Amino acid sequence: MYRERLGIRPGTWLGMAAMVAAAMAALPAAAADEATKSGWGLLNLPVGVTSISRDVYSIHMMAFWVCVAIGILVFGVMIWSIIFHTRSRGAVADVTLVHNTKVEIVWTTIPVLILIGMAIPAAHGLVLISDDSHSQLDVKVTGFQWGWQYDYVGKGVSFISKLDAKSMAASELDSGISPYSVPHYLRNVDHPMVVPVGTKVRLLLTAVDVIHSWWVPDLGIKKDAIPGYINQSWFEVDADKPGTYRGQCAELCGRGHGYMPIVVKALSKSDFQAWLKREAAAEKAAAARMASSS
Amino acid sequence: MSTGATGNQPILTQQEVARRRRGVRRTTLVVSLIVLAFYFGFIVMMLVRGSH
Amino acid sequence: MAEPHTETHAHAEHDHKPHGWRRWVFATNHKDIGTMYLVFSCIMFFTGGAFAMMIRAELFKPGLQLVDAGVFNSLTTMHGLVMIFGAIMPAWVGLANWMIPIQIGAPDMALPRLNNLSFWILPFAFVLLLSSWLVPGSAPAGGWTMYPPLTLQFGSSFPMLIFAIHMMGISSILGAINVVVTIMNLRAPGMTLLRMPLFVWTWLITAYLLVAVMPVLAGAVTMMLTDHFFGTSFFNAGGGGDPVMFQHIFWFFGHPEVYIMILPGFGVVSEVIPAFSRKPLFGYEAMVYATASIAFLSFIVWAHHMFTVGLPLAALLFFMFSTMLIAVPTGVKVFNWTATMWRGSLTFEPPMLFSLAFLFLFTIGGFSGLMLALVPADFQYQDTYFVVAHFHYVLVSGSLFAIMSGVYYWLPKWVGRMYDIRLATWHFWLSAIFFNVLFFPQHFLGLAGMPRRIPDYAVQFADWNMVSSLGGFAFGLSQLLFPYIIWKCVRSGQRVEGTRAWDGARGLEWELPSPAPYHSWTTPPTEAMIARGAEH
Repeated sequence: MYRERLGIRPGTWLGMAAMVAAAMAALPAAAADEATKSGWGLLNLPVGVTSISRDVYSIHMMAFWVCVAIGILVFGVMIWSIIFHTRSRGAVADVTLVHNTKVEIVWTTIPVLILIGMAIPAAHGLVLISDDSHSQLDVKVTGFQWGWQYDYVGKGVSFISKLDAKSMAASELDSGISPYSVPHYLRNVDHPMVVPVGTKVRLLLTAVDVIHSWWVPDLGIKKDAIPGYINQSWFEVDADKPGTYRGQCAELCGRGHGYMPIVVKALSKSDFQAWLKREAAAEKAAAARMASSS
Repeated sequence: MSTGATGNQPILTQQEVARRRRGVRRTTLVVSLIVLAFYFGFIVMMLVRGSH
Repeated sequence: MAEPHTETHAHAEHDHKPHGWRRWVFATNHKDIGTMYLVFSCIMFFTGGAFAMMIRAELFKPGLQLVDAGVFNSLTTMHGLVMIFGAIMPAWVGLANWMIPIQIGAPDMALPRLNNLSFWILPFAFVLLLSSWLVPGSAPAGGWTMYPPLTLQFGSSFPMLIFAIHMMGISSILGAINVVVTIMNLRAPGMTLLRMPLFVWTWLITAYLLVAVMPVLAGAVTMMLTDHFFGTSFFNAGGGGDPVMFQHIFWFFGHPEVYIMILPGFGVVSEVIPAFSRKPLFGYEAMVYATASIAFLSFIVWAHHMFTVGLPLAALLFFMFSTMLIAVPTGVKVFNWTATMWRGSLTFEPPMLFSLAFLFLFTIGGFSGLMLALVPADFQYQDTYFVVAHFHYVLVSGSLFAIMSGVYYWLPKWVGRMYDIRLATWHFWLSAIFFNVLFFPQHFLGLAGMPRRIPDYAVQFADWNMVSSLGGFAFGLSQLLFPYIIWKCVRSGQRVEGTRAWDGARGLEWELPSPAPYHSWTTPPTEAMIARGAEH
């Protein structure tokens, strides 16, 4: 009755739009390989530097490609109908096509099989991630509004890590300082967490006020820090991948939520031991100064 | 196609109307009781169980 | 073609329609109440939309330019609450009010005065909620999920939030009772359950979900209230309480809530696609059972919102598997809609366009949902923009587009006039394109490591945020077309002749004259009419 008055068959347009959309959906994976670390190239999960992050990445990519494949199939059928089974092409509706038990059984069973195929690697990965036994270094991480405290259990090292001063100044409302002029804007701290590479580090996470969440994408872990709870998580940075890895709090924790970054510096084992010794001595000296002055 | 002759509308009988009224009353009562039990039951249960 | 129904027509002529403000304040007519719900929802949609525009404006580039970080958190919180409880849910109740009695051949809702009450609670609830912007400490800023202990930190706005939630919950429950009672008792003779249109079916199941979970939300916020004012420590770890328990309770409500917002959308799409494919719905019964199984599954998947809180391995595995299982009935639905179009005779009027966009984009939202179900991967996705993209694909291009589709489908029946098809087609294309510009890049942002709910971000996220913001502004502006199209239609649309505004439309609503008379089906429809509507 009230038909489209557009000159071109709307189905064709719609079909083309749908194809563009489908192609767009496949884009991130295609571009992932050449992902540079900034701007337009940031499209996908980082592969990361731990066994966990690599497991997670492969599960993510498997799920992504399964979705792309199903998408091509399902969207393909839809697009076919949209282009060819239209009244403007003179298609007559086949009103008898309302039910087909065989087809319905097939499209219930096949998804179940696909899901089982996805669930097995996911469950396997989950079991590996959950095994936090035999850690070689324990660090207690305490979230607070707004920063993190790191306690190296049994090492006499403990410090607070907060947003660095430059980011802080630039992040004020109408600060007049360009965020681009600040190195690692909002992803830099005054006192980074330091860990050795090739060592299984266990985190014991808690919080003093509200819930926070400790997340470093390159390490592949995210775990909530909850008052009254001690959550456990672990990571082991590849022995050949020392470096600085950045993340930030992932659970809304008040007005400073966007301003509590996490920086993890992975050092070689010997550098780490040297750092630990230096840090412990410095803290002992500071404690002695405090005691004598009071 | 026609929307149906207007003369032969089924008229709801007196009994049918009464049956509907009973049905409405009964369903309302049952669903409301469930809701009330849920609503206050849940709140009370939580308050009681939560406060040691 | 069809003659108007003289029997109901005669009634329409001498219906005692109250005039002036009394018609609305004391409204008991399901069509008036439906209209009020829809208008209210439209106002809330633009209110929540305004908050969204401010969020996107602040995120347009790195650095804080417009609002303080605390205000930003209030904006995200209020955007969520207003859109969920103020825009989407009332829109569905409005459509239910208008369409359910007409579609089952009932003269009105079963409990008309209760209906009036459940509507009129809402404006007060939202005045209370929105006025929290004015109190010291500003509006609630703990996220729409209201997790303690954070939410307990807010001052004067906190009790306002709790009481507003209570009022919205009571309004929803009363509406749900009305829907259940109406569908169970007032179906026309011959309208058996398995002949009901799918919109009615999905709403019946939605109403049961509402009855089951709204009290749970009420319980959760009440505990928080006593924590704040009466010295209890349900969620306060310092007093021996458990902050994670709130999340369990909240998501036991929250996950079914997601389906409360989408199931009626499944119903609308299941009406619109057959109408514009000129074919009966494929697999009607499978659709009904799929809807019921989705509703059932929604009760056993809640913890997939909290995979990172430190659940035991067995719980993680259980919730991962149960969540993945939802893909099966959802897939059945998508396949059935696809099969309905297959070998049809399609045309692309605005309702069909919105339903097709629903079909494609909701499926993309389903894909990201499946990815989120995989626990190891969720450890990376959780609380990032990937999640934000996911739930906007299911809530905006899902629920909202389905609402648009329904309104464009039934509007000619409501007002007896046709809207400007060309303008509505523009509305569709602008919405569909800018929706994707707005939300697709958010997948990239989330994967690249940008957490949600942050007012400012590291500079590597700047490019895609700018694209997303531009898409957001364009999407927001194009929605202004929607009320304009409706206004123009009501004022000066071309009159619709006969009963069917669309040649492929089936169902009892299309057996009534257009506009539908103020009192419809005062005598029940004939068996022939019911049979025509239930060809499946």
